[in-house]
Amino acid sequence: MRPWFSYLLTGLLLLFLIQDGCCEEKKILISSDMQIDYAESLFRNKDYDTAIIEYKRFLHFFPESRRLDQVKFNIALCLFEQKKYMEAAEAFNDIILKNPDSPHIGEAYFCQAHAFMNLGNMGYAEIVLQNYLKLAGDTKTKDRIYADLARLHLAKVKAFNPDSLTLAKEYLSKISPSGTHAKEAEKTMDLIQEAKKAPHKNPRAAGFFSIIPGAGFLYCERYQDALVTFLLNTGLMLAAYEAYDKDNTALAGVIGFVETGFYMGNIYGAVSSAHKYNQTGILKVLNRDISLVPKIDPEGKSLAMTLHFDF
Amino acid sequence: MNKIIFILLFIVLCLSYGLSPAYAKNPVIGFYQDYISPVDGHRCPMYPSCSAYATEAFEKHGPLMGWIMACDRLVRCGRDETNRSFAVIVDNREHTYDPVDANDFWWFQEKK
Repeated sequence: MRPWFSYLLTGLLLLFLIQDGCCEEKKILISSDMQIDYAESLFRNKDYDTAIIEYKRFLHFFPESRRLDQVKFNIALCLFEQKKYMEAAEAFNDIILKNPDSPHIGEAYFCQAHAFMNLGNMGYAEIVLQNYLKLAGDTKTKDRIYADLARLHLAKVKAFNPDSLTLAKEYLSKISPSGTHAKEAEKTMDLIQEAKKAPHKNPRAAGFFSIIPGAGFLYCERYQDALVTFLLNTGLMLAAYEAYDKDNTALAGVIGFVETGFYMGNIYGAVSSAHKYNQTGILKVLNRDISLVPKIDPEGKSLAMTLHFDF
Repeated sequence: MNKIIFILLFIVLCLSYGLSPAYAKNPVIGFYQDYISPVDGHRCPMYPSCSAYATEAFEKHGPLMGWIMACDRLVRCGRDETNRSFAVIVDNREHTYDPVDANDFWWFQEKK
């Protein structure tokens, strides 16, 4: 063997040993507790994106852990907190369907319902809560479901569903008087009673008064609308009469066609205004506890509602 | 002669108001939106605008109710409704929010 070759071999061997020694010092063994603690610290610090990555890393490296249910629930919560309500609803749905024995199943139902409420899909939210109501055995859980169903129907009142007020009252009356939700339920019941006594206009009367154009609007305290309706309808009626009187039946027919629309619109508008008057009265009372914030999507130019509950 | 003109006009109007609720875009409203509104300027103080409201009403409720609701909206546009409905900002301008949903809620429930 040539001497330079033996020097090279020795050198390479030394280099390998030194490198190996360095790597040995840097090795860290991460336990499942360390991994989940780190993910939860990120969750507490509201760094939801990174928290999801760390929770997913936990699921990858510790698939046999007994804390899998908690991790899956926390991933869904992260999505909820990020306002990714559709993805959150799907994640909660996975927990409900795939892990029916999970200790987080109850919260998963409530969170999924809230995600749907935030999406404005009250129908799905109600189905989720009604499903859980069938499974729930204890009074405390049932009370919480009834309280959520009442909230949901109060939100529906705000979304132009006045009949939901009665349903909200019905659910509140089912809450047990000794439960934690009893006090709030009583307060909301009083609020609903007050809302029902709000100033009221009879829609049928509004429609009847509209035989005289504008009178229905006048009854609903819409004075400008009443004046414009009266002038427009009488003007068009006179124009149609004049055209017909001067044997211009084609013009009379066109004006008559247009006038028919405005006359029926006058009746429709008056009835609608009476309903809106009643709705506004109810909302004025309910708005003390529930705020409704309109939200505009500037790109899509669509409009959505977000609902915020205080009780 | 007059009768013929009237019948022709009536047919044109009926066709333009749409024959079914599925009618995509009303030609009269389409003409207004494409040619008149850009020249006249977007001045409707309501959101959605009266023409957009009428289009939606026609699509949702068909020609008869759509026509009635559009006439009702034209009368109410920019008057008492501005003091009763809440305002929204669209394209940096304040508008009164008055969608079709806010005027048919008492008789029409959309199936979801």
